[in-house]
Amino acid sequence: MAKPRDATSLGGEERAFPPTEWTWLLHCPQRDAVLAELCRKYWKPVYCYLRSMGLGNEQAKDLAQGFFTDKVLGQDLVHKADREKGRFRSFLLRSVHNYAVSALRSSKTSASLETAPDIGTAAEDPEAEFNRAWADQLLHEVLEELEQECRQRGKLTHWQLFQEWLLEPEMETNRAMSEVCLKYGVADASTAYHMIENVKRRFRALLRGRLSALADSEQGIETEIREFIAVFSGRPARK
Amino acid sequence: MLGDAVAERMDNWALNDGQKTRLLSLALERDSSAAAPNEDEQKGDLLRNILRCALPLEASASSAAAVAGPSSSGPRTVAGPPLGELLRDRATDLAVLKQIKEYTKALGRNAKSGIERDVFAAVYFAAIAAARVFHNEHVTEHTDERLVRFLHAFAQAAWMPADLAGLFFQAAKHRLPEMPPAGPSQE
Repeated sequence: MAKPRDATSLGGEERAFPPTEWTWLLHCPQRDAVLAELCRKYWKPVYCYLRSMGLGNEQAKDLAQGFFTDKVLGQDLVHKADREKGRFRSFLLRSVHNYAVSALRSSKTSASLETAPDIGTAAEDPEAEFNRAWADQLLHEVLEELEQECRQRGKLTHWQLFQEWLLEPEMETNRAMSEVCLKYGVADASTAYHMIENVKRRFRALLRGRLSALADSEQGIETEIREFIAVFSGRPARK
Repeated sequence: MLGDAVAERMDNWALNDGQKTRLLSLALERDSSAAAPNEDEQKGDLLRNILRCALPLEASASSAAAVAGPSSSGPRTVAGPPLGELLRDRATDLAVLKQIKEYTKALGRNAKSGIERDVFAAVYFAAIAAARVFHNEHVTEHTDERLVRFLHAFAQAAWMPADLAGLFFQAAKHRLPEMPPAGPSQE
């Protein structure tokens, strides 16, 4: 039953932090659900990591598939993990790396009998590729959710303004807001800025809400965000 | 292949690194007071946050099988389906609806503002409405007349998502086969 401090645990500025991803993974009684969730969230990052190790498309897909079915589900990877050693994402990354190295060793052994493995040129930083793919997916999911929410709430123009002003490449040319207002039938620039600010606020809440499953404090969320910014901007993260 | 579906979903957006950085930076900014949402917007935001969450583990442990029933569909996390999905799915077990009702009732008791209280009450009544529409069950001590008044009020609230408003309207119109005798409300 809910405790007194659960009063705002589901939302709002002062909500308590929900259990982190580790807690869900370790205590969920449904292994199929765990696997489905892990695949949904991490398949693409794992695949990108394997590609950046120099594997070809098909081989990376096969290895990613094998990792989730053999290692994650078959060997109950999650329950063998030592959560004291850090973030789940980092743990998964180490596991993928070990799995790939082991699989490549085996394929090299058999390569003399069959064809050579499909190995291309390795990227500079496979770990950065993993994080990039993960953050990419996070942004896409938040934007999809935001768009859907705007549509459901009759704020399509809000969404269009947000998209125009923040997502479209043209915004980098510093186009006048008055033109944007004209395009979408908004009275004036002040109203448009207010509408954009409204959607930005929602974007912020949705993104931070998703990250709260990975961090146990507001500071932890900000660290995650700064790390993702560093991945995309090529700058080292400030803690 | 598992990854094909993921890759397809990702193709809907094509953002460059500068745009991604800008978006992520938004999440580090503080909310602007100039864009402070009005009360309806705040209620709508909070309600959507709640509907997106799963029942807490301690509240759902006893009915994990019911929550994960085969007829449920839609987005799902290891924590279980979101409350919004449970409330809208006619296959959701009655026991789960009662858990949602009790859970949000407890949250409402500790609400820190009128906005929170209204939103928790909305989810509380949505669980009652779902029990009424999908299971023909009256799971509250409110009299039918009083309950219908609440259902109409929530159905017409400006901040209510359309599908939940529909559920409230349906519940208000729904006649139960057998009603308990009317008495003073204790809720």
